[in-house]
Amino acid sequence: MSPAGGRTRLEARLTRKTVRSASGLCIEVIADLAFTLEEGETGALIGPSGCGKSTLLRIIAGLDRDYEGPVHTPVEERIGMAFQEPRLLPWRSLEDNIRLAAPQATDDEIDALLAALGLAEHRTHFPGELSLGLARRAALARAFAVRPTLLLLDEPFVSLDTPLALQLQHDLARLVESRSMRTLLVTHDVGEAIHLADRIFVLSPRPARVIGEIVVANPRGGMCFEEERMIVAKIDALRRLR
Amino acid sequence: MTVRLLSLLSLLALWQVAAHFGNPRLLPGPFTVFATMKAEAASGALFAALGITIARVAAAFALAMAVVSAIGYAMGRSALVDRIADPWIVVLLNLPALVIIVLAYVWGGLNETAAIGAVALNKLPNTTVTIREGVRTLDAGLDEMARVFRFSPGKRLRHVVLPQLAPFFAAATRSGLSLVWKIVLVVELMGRPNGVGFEINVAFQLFDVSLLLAYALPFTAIMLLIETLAVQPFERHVSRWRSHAA
Repeated sequence: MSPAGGRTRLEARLTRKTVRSASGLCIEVIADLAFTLEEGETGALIGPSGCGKSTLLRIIAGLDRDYEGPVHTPVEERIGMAFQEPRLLPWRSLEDNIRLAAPQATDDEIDALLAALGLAEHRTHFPGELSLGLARRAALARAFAVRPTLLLLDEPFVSLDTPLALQLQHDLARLVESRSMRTLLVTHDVGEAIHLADRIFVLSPRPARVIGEIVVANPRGGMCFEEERMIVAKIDALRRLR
Repeated sequence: MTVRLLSLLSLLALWQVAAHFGNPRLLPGPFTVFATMKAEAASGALFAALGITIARVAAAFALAMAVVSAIGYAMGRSALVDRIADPWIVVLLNLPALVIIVLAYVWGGLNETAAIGAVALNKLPNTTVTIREGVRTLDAGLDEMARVFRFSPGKRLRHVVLPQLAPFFAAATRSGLSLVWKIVLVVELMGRPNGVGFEINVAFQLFDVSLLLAYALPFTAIMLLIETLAVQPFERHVSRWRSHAA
């Protein structure tokens, strides 16, 4: 790794991460997991539920420092994150939730984001008045509003019904396309990964490690059906291999 | 509201009837008590006593809340602090109010500092436990959100922590206030030359039940008014977002 690459690259070389379960047992959730993501790229980590994807994302976000092996994130990183649950402040309106996280965002920027995510008429509502789908959108709007250099998405569409998830996926793909930032998405849904990512990292069951990397030639809707089927087949093959 | 008013009026009526058939020296009727109240108010003595007692309630309450917030927060956040401070809290919780008051006067002298300190110390353990429980329920997910989005400490306190603690502060205020104003009277009775507690002591020595009630009832009424006009609206204000829940 060149020193110059170290400054703009997101590089994780985790050798070990254990968590202590409620019963006091030490469980290894990550073992020798390595991946690199260049500037402007969208990476998707796909793996079975409970394989340690969220733990990995928390490590990248700097929320968990108890791990072994270096993780390099570019200096001057501004992180926007959408957690698995919306995690909005229930006592602040939707708009205030966004403004608190992104105080530097201008009125125009916020208006544009709310319009792009179909939230314009909900800006004064409290999170308790929103459906889960709308709350998810609000959490995405908040993550985008900080103009992140690194966008982290933790299963952003889980537990939404299919048409809603597809619509939101489409909106997200458009926003990712319109900004220059690094995006890291974790999901267990192969379709989601294919529709959003430039690079797909396939993870093993727990303890998680990368068992294969697939580069998507024409990401975000640019690919034909044939291409999509080939990627799905490749992922299936990787998973069977182990 | 009307039911409450009628209930209160029937209590007054019952009092009147009981006074009519009982010994007027032991239980003077409402009209006698109101007449005494009027006389005491006209001389200015009633308002002076009420003013000084309410000032003591406010001082003891503010002192206790400031100390309790700090200790309760530390205990809720750190398991070590909790383990160290918890036995102290348990001891204080089981120490009779009277013992604390007497010791405060013996060690501190018969002065205002000892009086207010003793009251605050009595309120401390209960409310500390309330605030600690509140801090323990703080949402770890929102805390992570605030860290990822680089909330400043002030912003985190105002928009993330305090809204979650507000119901616990309201509960601590409510239970704390009712405890404080009862104990303030005892402190005044034992070692202060003025205030409602002192006047009640005078009435006790003179065996004047009418005078006793003339001081006790307005004070109780004022405390009830503070509870309904200040504490309850505060509680409603901080939980207004809940009523919007779908």
